Amino acid sequence: MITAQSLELTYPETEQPSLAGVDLQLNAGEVLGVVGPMGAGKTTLCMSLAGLVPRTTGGEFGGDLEVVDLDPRQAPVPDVAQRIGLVFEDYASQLTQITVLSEVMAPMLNHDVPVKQAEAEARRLLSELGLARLDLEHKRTWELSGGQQQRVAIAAALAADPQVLILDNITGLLDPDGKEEIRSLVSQLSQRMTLVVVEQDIDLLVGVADQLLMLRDGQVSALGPADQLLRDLTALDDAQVEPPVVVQVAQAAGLPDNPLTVEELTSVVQSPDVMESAAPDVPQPAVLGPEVSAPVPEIDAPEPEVDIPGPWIRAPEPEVDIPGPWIRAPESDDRPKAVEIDHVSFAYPDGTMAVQDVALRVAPGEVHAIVGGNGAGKSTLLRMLCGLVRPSSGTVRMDGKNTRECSPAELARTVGTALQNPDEQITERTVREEIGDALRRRRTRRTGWFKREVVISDEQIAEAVDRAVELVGIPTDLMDRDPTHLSRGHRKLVAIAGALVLDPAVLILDEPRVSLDAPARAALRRLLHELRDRGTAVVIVEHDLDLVAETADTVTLLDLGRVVASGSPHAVFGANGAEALAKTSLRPPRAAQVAAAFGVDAITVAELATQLYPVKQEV
Amino acid sequence: MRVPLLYTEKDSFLHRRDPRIKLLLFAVVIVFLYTAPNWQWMLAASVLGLALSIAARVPPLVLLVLWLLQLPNFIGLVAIPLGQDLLAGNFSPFDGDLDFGLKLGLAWSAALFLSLALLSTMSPDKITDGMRGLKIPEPLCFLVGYSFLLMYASMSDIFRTIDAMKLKGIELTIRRPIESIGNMAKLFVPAVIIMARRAGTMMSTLQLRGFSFTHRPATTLGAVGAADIALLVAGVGALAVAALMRFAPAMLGL
Ligand SMILES: Nc1ncnc2c1ncn2[C@@H]1O[C@H](COP(=O)(O)OP(=O)(O)OP(=O)(O)O)[C@@H](O)[C@H]1O
Ligand SMILES: [Mg+2]
Repeated sequence: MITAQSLELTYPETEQPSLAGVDLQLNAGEVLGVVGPMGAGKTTLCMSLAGLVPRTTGGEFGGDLEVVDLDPRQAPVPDVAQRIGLVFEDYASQLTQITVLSEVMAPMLNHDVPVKQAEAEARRLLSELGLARLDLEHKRTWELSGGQQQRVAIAAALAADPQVLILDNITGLLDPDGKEEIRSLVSQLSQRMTLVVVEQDIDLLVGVADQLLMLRDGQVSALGPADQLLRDLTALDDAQVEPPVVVQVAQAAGLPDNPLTVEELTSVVQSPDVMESAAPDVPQPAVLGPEVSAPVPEIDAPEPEVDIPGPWIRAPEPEVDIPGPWIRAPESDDRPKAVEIDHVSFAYPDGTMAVQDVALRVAPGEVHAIVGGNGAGKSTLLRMLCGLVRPSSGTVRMDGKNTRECSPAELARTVGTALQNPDEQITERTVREEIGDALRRRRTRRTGWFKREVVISDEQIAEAVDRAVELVGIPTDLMDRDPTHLSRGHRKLVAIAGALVLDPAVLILDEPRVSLDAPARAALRRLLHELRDRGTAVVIVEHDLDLVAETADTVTLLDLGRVVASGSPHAVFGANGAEALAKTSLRPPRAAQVAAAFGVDAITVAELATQLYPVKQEV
Repeated sequence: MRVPLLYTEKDSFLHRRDPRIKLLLFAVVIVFLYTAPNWQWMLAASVLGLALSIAARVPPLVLLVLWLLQLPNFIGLVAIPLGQDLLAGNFSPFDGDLDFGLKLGLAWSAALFLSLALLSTMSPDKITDGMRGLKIPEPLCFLVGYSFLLMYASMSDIFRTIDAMKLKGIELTIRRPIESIGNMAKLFVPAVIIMARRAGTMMSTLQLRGFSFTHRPATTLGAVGAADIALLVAGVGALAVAALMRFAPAMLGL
């Protein structure tokens, strides 16, 4: 279905090829997973397979390529469009119509599907992608939340019913339910089409991908059966990809082989010698307590039996203490809060109630995560925190300032913000200028009608930029590049560094994790810890709940604009929070899902591994 | 801030009419503007247009703002000759009377209200579909549709850029008008960059979704109903009467 031989591509005005010597062989109905660090050429590969590179970008190409019996780089566009579908990572630019319904109907109308049939099919696709709740006929595409836009783009690509479907990192903005929906969608689609799936979230490829391609610097660093490569730690490390969560758990617990699925993991830890020699001092009833028989969250493996946990598991830790009502009681100390919002609501002009009666407190040095499904109102809430949107009712105080009383520009001196879409923020020609931009714009102060004095020197700007770059971990060789030509992950980092350059009292991050590879993700974790030490208050919106569980001090769970739970990560994601969580489109962090399969109440890999410690000793 | 659409998403008698009929009526309006015999006709057309716009549920504020925007034209065309008339006694820039100025001035209002009543009741999709139904060549239909989309997409991009610029410390608030107007200029470069970046992905997407300059997509048009026909007949009738009044005297040699 797809055959590539020494595929090559060099963009105009660059010397390094973005793809070099890529060989591929994919049969009909197979799923190819593609992973690799930022800037490895994954998007270039996708665009080449769809014939868009070099057609729309220019550049030199080489090698042989055949996709569904034609070379998409040279075949007429309509022929390519009939056979190949592509969903881009850049969700905002691939919406071409005004309303949601017409966006999905258009590809079908273009292929002469009768209107009635197209509309029915469009509605079916949209509800399959979880958008049935929207007013499909009237909701404007550019007024959707990021995740909703991504879902519409997927529906529109499916509407064309291609034979080859290429998904370029499309799940980054989706909530956990959305990711699972994509996983089952991909398995289902693979019965009638061939898929190329670029993914940052490697767990989504487990059990779905047949082949795995690891790209690095435009070259194939590994290619082979996904089943093997996904647990091959050297290969994964080489491609700068984090191993799947089960592999991480097994590694942290010191298991000999690398199980890939929960099923495999249970069979490994249950092996007879482990059972026999397991610590007998753990009372079995404690393990089989009421928590254990609670419904086990679904993981890709068939549901493990509830009574699997053997005697080797430590008894669940005593329950984490959570105050009765879900909302944390206001703390009694008089320290000023960095963020204080009370009874805040916001409705968009089209009547969407995005945020309703939300209260939130963030202390200096606290990392506060806001989580919730797509369209839950997270980004809207952040826009209120940085003053871009004023609440319809209620007050927002940031670092003591009421956002009604100062302009966003004034507020930005103490509140740094990196928006969900980095492209909205990037305006300068080099990375260095871009990061220093917020400082440079404040370089002078008006002292008279025609007089301005310099208040920030160039050296100070350079220093601040270096500090921010180091904090965020941007490779120094990128400093003089044009930020618009960087990979999306790097653009995101640039936007974060730009928000940090003013050394803000509050830092607001909307989905920082999207598009980041393993090293950048580690850098992000370090950054959050460092900011906590420096006393910066951080408000972060994030769909990667494993990252949240590892780094946040407090978690607020939003659903349909309302706070449904708030507390420590354990309170929200652990066994006690399961009920509130299940009502939203979130699922516990992956590590917690694996833990639940063993009846352990852990929410991070590290925690789970310590609870599996007895096994490690015995093996 | 919300991207303003020409289209009002409401339901009304005019919304329910066939887009082909509304496009034909739009052509009638344009011809009428050139054939109306005198300013009284223009006044009548303006009043009718205003009534129709209200019936089409265009928000009154929008009507007022748009009308005020063209007021300078009206004043230029009417008040200046009027003032000159008064000052100079019988000095007459327009063939000895105010008629021409008044007619031209009112033509702006008539054009504004009538086209608003017709166009605000059609979504861009309906407009292009109507054009296709009238057998207008596909490249033109595609271009019209695409320009609407690009315009709206760019506007929403610009609004987002404005937000991001605020976060970078540029004052763009009504409370500081002078500083803000000066700062608007700084938006130009980023807005162009963003639009250029969007255009690439958007072109790729359009290609892969089967849009093209030559292929006509399936139409969403239904059948033309009796009310549609009646509306068209009324419009063409009014135009015919106006044309008769304007040209018949000359043709009959009166
Ligand atoms: N400009 C807008 N105009 C009208 N409605 C909007 C606008 N922006 C967002 N909405 C709606 O408000 C609700 C909340 O959107 P918001 O962007 O805050 O969600 P979110 O939680 O950030 O979602 P995601 O995880 O997908 O980014 C959604 O139903 C969305 O459709
Ligand atoms: Mg969001």
